[in-house]
Amino acid sequence: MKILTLYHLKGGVGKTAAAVNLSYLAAAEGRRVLLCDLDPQGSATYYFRMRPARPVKVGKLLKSAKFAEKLVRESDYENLFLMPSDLALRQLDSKLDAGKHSRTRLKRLFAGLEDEYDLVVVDAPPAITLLAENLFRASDLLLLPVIPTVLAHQAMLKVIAFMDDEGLDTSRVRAFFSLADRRKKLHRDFMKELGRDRERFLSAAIPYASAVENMGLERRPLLDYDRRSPAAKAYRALWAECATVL
Amino acid sequence: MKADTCILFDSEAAETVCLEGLGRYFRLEPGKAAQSRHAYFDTFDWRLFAAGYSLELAAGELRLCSLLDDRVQAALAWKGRKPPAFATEIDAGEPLREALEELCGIRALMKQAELVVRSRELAVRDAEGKTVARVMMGSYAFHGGSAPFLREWRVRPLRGYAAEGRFFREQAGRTGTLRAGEGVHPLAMALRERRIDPFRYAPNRDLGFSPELPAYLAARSVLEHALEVVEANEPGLLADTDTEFLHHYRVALRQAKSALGLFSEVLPPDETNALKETISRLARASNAVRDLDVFLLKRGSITARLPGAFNPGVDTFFRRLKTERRREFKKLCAFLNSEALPAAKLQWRTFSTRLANPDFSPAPGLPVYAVACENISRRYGRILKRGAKLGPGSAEEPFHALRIDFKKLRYNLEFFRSLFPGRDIRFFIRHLRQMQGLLGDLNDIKVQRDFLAARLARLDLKTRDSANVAAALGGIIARLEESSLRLREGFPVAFKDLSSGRVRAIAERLFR
Ligand SMILES: Nc1ncnc2c1ncn2[C@@H]1O[C@H](COP(=O)(O)OP(=O)(O)OP(=O)(O)O)[C@@H](O)[C@H]1O
Ligand SMILES: [Mg+2]
Repeated sequence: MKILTLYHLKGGVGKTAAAVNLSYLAAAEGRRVLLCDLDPQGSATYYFRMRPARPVKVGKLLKSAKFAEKLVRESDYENLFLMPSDLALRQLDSKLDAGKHSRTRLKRLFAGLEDEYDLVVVDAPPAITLLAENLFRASDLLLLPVIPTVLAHQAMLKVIAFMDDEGLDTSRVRAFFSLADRRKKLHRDFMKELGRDRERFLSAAIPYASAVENMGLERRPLLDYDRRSPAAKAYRALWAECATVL
Repeated sequence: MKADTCILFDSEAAETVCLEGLGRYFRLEPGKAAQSRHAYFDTFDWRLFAAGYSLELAAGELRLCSLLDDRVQAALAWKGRKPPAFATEIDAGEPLREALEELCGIRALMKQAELVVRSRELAVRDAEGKTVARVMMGSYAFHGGSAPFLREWRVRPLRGYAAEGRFFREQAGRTGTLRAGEGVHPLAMALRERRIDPFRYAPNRDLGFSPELPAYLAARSVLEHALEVVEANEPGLLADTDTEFLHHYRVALRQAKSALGLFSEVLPPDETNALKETISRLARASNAVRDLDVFLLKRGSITARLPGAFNPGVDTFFRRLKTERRREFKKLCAFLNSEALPAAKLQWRTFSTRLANPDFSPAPGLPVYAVACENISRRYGRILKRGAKLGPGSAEEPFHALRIDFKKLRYNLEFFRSLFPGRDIRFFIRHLRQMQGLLGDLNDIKVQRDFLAARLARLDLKTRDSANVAAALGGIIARLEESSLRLREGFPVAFKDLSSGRVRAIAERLFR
């Protein structure tokens, strides 16, 4: 079982959009996929038209994979399962802090799901918190969507610097361009320059596209309703790259 | 689809009403619809079905599926070809062929049913449009038939949506009939609809008597069941697609006859003897064909290890046997199509109808349990006595007397199995088996040898062909003689097991 986390310090960069579509693509390939929506906003959960079946008890969730499994619901797509978000997930940090193994709690939790899934995709909330640290340690691939702007890039460097400080392995960190608008000269220049960093940047770039925005209305993965759009193609390319890294 | 509930509907109208009701709580979204024709094949006696499989031809594919979950065990593209009548018509090395050979042996496959299956997927969604359950709506009709005989929904709630699934079932259960589980295989449902009992051909099924049942009624049910088996096998026998029809036909006749003997205490003597005579006549009419069948079927084992020099004679001989069989089969058909058969069956049926009345029986108060114990212990006792006198050097004759006792014991056990505790009776039967096999083989040898000797005597030795045949027959007879000796040598060991203290003790306890 592999763990792929969509993460960024910055909000609104396309983490959830990527998490939803990458999960969809992985499942369509026949992998058994669990998408964990750990963001109390619950955008991924919303895209799949879900709600939690029962109130989520965060303390219990962190302790037992069995309990976590009970929260899992089947999506409308074969092989794709979801752990829906709940507002209660805002307590994740404090509960992690209060418990034992506060930095590796999630890694341990995921280990308990080993037999059930081939891939766990985590949609994380934007912040450097204890939860983020847990994810840094647990993930096989930490994927950062980067809008081609100076600030977004700065934020990415901060994340990597933080991980370095903590002595964490940053070789599992990859970035990709998200919300990229080729009409903007600034975006184009930025992508050209940063794209040279082959170590860090994947070559797939998700364009800014209203097809993606429409996910909010459609409430399903882009790949399910507009598989031919350039954005859909970009997500496919992105998944292909992730699959080789994983 | 792996369903966890089935909902059955009487009519399309009922389905519509149900859908309307559900529409108040769920968004129902029809999905893919499909229609397919499925032809099902099996041996005449449903060997595949009995083993838990169906062989179906649908959409250009021949597949062997498990009846339990419809999972495909082996499949093969089968387009524009006649369905196979025998497993051997499938390419060698195909897993499907191997599976069929194992399940059907040399039995012929025939089309047993043909269904038209219509299906439509239905997604059950909640207010937000999330699918909470999937339904496969199916309707099953006989090909060329009228309305579907079954309408069934198979429901699978999505994981994490158990509560929604329960609510759905509750609502649907108001119009339809709920049944837990994955549902019954369409073939099984079709058979039920047509009231076809796939096991009716089998002569020796457990008749399930209870101990207090009056013996005369037990006799009646044996007779009725045997007559059913006889009639079920008649068409196949006449069509001559498979020698097994005749075999089962004859087993049923033999069972009826032996039931008349076993239950003689509770049956009126004159009528009983008359019926026995009639049934014997029916059996005799088919003796010749059956003997020839056995010979032809066993050609391989009978001529195995015979020196190659005999081959020409063997070939000629078996060719002649085939011709003889054709002739004898014609005679048998003439007999079956004559007035004799309906008259015999009428006599048989009248007998068992009258047997429903206790006045017809001289001992209506005797329970079947008493008859069973008495018969079995007497037979077993006689076998022990006779067997003790026999050794490897004994002549053949007494072995045959012993075999007849054994056969009768076996019929007893077949009829009365249900009266005794399963474990003990199984133990007893298991220990009879070795001896039974030995005596059966011994008898086969005798029958074959007599058969060959009679033909040898009739040969006109002047032609070259016949001389070859004579030589071959001599060779076969010598080999049979050898096997007979070897079998008799094995007798003491087999008999010792049967007469051991443990088996005796169980018999005494069981049949007291
Ligand atoms: N490629 C794209 N083109 C156009 N709009 C996009 C694209 N990707 C995402 N969006 C839109 O941008 C907004 C933010 O996207 P998304 O929710 O995926 O980002 P996020 O990083 O998960 O945000 P948050 O930090 O709030 O969780 C959404 O309204 C989404 O519809
Ligand atoms: Mg998000």
